[in-house]
Amino acid sequence: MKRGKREAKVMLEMIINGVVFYLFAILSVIAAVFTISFVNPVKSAISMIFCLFCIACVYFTLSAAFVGIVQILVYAGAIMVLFLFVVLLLEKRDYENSTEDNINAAKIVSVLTAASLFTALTIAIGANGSAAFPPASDGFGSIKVLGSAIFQKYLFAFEALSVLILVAIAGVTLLASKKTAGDK
Amino acid sequence: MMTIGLAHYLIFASVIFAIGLIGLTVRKNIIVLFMCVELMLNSGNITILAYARQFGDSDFHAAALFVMVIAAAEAALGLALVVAVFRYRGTANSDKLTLLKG
Repeated sequence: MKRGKREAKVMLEMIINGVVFYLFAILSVIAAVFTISFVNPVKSAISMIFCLFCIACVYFTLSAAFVGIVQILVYAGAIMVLFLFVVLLLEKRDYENSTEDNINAAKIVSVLTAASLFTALTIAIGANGSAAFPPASDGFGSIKVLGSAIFQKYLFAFEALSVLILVAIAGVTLLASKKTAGDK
Repeated sequence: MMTIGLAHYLIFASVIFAIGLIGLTVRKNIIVLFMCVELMLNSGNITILAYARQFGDSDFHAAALFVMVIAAAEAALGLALVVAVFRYRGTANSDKLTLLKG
């Protein structure tokens, strides 16, 4: 009796994951297409935020709840707000009389290249068939397991990343200050 | 029956990657180019997390978080570069930035 209940629960979870995956995958693909097709970069950034949010919801279906939350907070929140700030800092006229609408040979070639890359990837992936995921172990993707992985196994990588962030801050300060060579 | 597996996520990631690649080659505005790079990084993250679920290993999640940190650093540096270039050249159009053209 208990086993049957557990199986029903797993089945329900699979169905919900499927529905959520399809919904948010389609939404995020649409938002990504809007991101690259809007001429106005503010609209691009807004649809990019929505796309990143939908990708975070796809992460939830992979039982990667913490990574999804970080995606929403850091990506859709911090990074895209930074993008929006920079878009608003730059002058408006810069994109209004741009040549974005021109369709030339280079654009057609690039679209064909991306389409053929996608086709090749899809064929290569589809050849392996589509088996469902094996059942996840207890605690998979939980903050406890993730934290012990980061702060024990990958402590050095974590500390190296903090140095990287520090270097990035120094570089940004240098680039943004008015006294640098870019301003003479 | 809606059983989704690794292949679905990988194909989804390749769709996002292809859209990012198209945007990177078609668009002219440098900021939008950065957004396309972020899209491609995200498709990489989807792949990492799909394999994490496949192998049931939480270490992959740490890798995905590290990718996010590096993407954040890259976005901050790249946008600072865009602002510096805009101040120097007065444009954010990649066609007009021909300083390094021979």
